Amino acid sequence: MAAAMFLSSSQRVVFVTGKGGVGKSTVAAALARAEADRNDEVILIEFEGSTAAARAVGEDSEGIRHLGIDYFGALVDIMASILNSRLLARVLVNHRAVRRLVRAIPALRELAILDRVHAIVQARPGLRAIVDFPASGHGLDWLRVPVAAERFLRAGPAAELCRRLRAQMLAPEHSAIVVVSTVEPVVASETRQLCERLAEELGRTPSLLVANRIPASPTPEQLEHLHRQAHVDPVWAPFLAAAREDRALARDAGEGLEALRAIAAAPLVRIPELHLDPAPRDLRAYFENAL
Amino acid sequence: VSTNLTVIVGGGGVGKTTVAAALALARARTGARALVITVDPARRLADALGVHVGIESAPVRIDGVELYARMPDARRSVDLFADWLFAEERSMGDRVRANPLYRELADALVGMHEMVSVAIVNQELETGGYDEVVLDTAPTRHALEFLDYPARLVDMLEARTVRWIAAMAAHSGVSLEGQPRNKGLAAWGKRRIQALLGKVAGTLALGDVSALFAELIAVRERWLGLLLAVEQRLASAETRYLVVTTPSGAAIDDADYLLLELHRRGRHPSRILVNRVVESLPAWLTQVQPVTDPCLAAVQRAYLAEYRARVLQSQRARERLAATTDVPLTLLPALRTTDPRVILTGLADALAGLSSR
Repeated sequence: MAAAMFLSSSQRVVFVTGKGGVGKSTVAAALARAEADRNDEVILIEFEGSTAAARAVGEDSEGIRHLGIDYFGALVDIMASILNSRLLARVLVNHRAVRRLVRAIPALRELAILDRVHAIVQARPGLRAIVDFPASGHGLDWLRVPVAAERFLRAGPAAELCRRLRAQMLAPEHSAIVVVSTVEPVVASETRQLCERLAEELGRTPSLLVANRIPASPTPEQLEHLHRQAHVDPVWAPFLAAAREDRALARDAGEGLEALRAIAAAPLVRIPELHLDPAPRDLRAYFENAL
Repeated sequence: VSTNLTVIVGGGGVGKTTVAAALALARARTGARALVITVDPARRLADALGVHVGIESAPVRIDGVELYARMPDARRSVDLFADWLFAEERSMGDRVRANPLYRELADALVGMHEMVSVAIVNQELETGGYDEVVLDTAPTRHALEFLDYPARLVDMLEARTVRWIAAMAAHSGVSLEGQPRNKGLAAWGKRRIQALLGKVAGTLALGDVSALFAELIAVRERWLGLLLAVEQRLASAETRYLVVTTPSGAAIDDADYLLLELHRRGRHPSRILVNRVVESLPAWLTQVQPVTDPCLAAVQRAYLAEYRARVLQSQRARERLAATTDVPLTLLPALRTTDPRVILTGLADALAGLSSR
């Protein structure tokens, strides 16, 4: 199985995470595109009615399977595997009181959906799953659920499930974590915190860091020319001011990029702000070239 | 004096927090006592305001105008919530805090943040004495989760499922809560369901679970009262929902989804705020003449191309929104600056019209 170089062939699941609005779904779609183009079997997974990654793939979807996992479906699957009966599982999950209860229990949803992802890659050797996690710090919370739940469940089928997920999916040899960030200093520092927590609480480092939407700015030479032009023709003065603002933005972005580079030994892929709504094919080359 | 509530929702990275802070500032400028509070664990409120923001409400001064800001810390808030819940039963509260299951839930598990946020928002609405509370939520899906959470918990508490599970856990997953009143099919079904649940849960830390649930049942009324109060506020016609988006395709997708989901829940956003709009080419770009210097010409071309694309994107965004929704739009201009304070005050100017109801 040919795979992107940051992935080993045993890493069957790629979790794409990061703060809100950094372009996670676009990156997940680009990774799926890159994998599909290497003739790998790839499935792009998102959760509970989210279609952001599918929309990011758009019409360029050849060779990419897409799956949205919904909670109650996943819950039936999990119950069926424990009870050895899909019918009983349906009865249980469709029971009104049980439904009310499970809607309010924290973490059950995360366990059920992660287990579904695990079952999908287990059922089909050679299949790689790219998982577009929900936004915000919540991506980390998802990965932490089996670890935390196992601590208080201790024994029984649910604890066994947590153990299985940890050993067979969350261990570094079985999954890769791709952390996406933009280069604004605020976002970069949030990304650094996310990575620190990944290391502290899960013992994981990102397999790949993606610095997305690095802004372009005028070169020092261009600024110099603008400066001279504004001196002879004052109508250029506001143009110069705007260009200087962009230069300042780029300096900030440089700091953000430094912060990202300092995070871990993980390889860093840099993607410039291409144009306004990039397609996966536009981004694919950055993953190929950088690795 | 009743407090108005404005809930700000939107996709990730569209500027929700800054818009929420700017709206509170715009209200404060009219002399109102305004609070901006974030339930987004991303904690960007301090950056948006350019000042330290604490876990309790505290005044913030922006150009001589005073508003209040609060950024609760999820982990510490869980304990505060437990304090509140068990205010009249101190020893019970201590037992809960010592329960290993509680510690795990409080520290690690998703869903807790939403629940605690509900309590904090309710406290501010009822006792804060504000004219306006602006609530900044987490991106898209989590905002919906926050909005759904009170009703879900009410459902659960009212369904007596908690009591039922507690009893079940206490009896190793096989017994019933007391004796069934009738011996018909329903009772048989209930027994079957309990037996199945018991099988799934196995020996799920039974002692901890039943102990925790038993304590929670004891304060059920207090909890229920809080949840119903918040649910009522969120569902009230007085509560204003504002959807924030930007012209980017992904942000508009998020906005579409949110509009749909809010309508499904009977919550009707009063406005869509389109942030970072470029309506036309900026004057600094159009007022300069073409030049012969190739270096300057290249900069000029690059900027023209970028801004034409942005104008086009903003136009498309407006067309898309106009085609899918009747909710009126407010356009907020893209501000060319790296200074958060300038962005905040600039947005507050643009939002002045929205600060009154």
